[in-house]
Amino acid sequence: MTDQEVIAYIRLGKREQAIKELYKEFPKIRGNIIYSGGDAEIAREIFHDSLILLIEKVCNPQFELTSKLSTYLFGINRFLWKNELRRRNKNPELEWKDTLILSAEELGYSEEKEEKIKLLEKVLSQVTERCKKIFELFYFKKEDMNTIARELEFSSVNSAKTQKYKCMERAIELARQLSANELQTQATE
Amino acid sequence: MRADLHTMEQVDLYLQGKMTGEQLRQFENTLAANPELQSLVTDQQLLIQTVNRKALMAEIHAVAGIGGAPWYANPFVAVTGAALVIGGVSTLIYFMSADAENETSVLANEQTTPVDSPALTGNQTSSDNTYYAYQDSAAGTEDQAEPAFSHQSANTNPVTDHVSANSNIQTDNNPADRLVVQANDATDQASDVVDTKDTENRVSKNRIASYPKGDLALKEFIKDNMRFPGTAREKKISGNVKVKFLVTPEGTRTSIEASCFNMRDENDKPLSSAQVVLNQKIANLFEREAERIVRIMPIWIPATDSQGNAVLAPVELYFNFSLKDGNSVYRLD
Repeated sequence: MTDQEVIAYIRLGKREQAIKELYKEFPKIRGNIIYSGGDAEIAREIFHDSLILLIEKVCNPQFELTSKLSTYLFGINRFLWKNELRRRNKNPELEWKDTLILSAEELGYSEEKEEKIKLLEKVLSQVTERCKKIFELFYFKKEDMNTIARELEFSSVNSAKTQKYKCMERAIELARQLSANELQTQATE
Repeated sequence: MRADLHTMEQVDLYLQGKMTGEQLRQFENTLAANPELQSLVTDQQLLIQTVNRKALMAEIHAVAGIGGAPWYANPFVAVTGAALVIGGVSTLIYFMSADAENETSVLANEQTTPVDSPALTGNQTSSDNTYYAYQDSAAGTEDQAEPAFSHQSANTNPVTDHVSANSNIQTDNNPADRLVVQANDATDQASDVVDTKDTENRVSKNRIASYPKGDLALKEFIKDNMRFPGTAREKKISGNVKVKFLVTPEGTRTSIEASCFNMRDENDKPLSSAQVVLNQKIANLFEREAERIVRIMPIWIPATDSQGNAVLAPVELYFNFSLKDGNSVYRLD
């Protein structure tokens, strides 16, 4: 598969083939991470996170590839691993072959946002299964509300819409509570 | 503020880039003047991103979990994956020849050979399965795949242009567009098959890749160089590791992938699955050491094709980390 084909697959929503192709880079990346003090487990975590960042990037219509896709992927992994090392108070030089040096700005990566997303993951684990299903179908699978209403056996499209709205409202409310709580605990510490 | 249903739908439309013209301008004006709406947009956007990441992670895990063998992250893993895992866990795999595995891989690749129009009329998500259904005609379709491939390479740019022009391609309901998309999918598959077949043919068995000075020398090398991981020694755990890698025409090793498929206690009893989970770190240590040893080996003698040219070749080695009998290595081909 060429880089352009991988990108086209991702944009067409046929991510599985693209992920399989990108996974071929994993052994090398894992090697790099293990050489600089990581283990296979963290390597896999970082690689999976890097795939998500890459796919998010590629889905942006403005995204333009300026290097080989693998070089870019290596760059994201190097960035994430460096971040992780910094969290562990280490800062070794990482000299990886064929790797793009990326900054947080270039990658559109912000700790603050990642923290918020972590918080929202907690929120999502607290909403009902039905809500999760609606969110996934609507936002990830990009199904329209008619299909969702049929699939999840709502009595009408409108009741599906109302349910989705309630789910969203509940989730946002939960998120605000949670972040307020966290701020409070930080303040008392 | 309690946002109403209508506002949230508006925010959805806005975030999906579906607002245009007057509607968009109006919304942006309201947004600029309304901090509460702004925070709703940010929250909703992040929530959507989180939903998508979660679902995406599930997809990634599904791909990564196939047969536990990302090294061969090919469609055939899905077909033979289960068989391979069982084979890897039991000693049965010792009796499976590498040839059999290669044959399966070629077969599975042929199963993905695309066919013309009938597959294109199926809907997008089920098209993969449709390909499999046509495996009977696989033998005759290679000539079709070739022209299709050149057609695809000429069209690569239009495809991506088409994609970037439509940020919401998945919700695009134009049947003509669908057909274009599918046609390109089919040709993508074609190029896959042509590529794989090429390498498959190049990996000929005329001379297999081998360790210099033969398998006995390899066993010596393992005895002398492979270390028994300290933690495993302390816990009195032995283990077996399967290592797959490619020997390049230059004799170096790449794509090294180790998996520990068996761990035993001091009485040579296999660990229970709970113990295996608890001792995952040790399994990793075995794997790292096996990978390291493959990496530091001297230059291998590469495999050759019928013309005597050095070619890329896969090799599988089985390492035995044994507290009682010392370290050893097996090869099955």
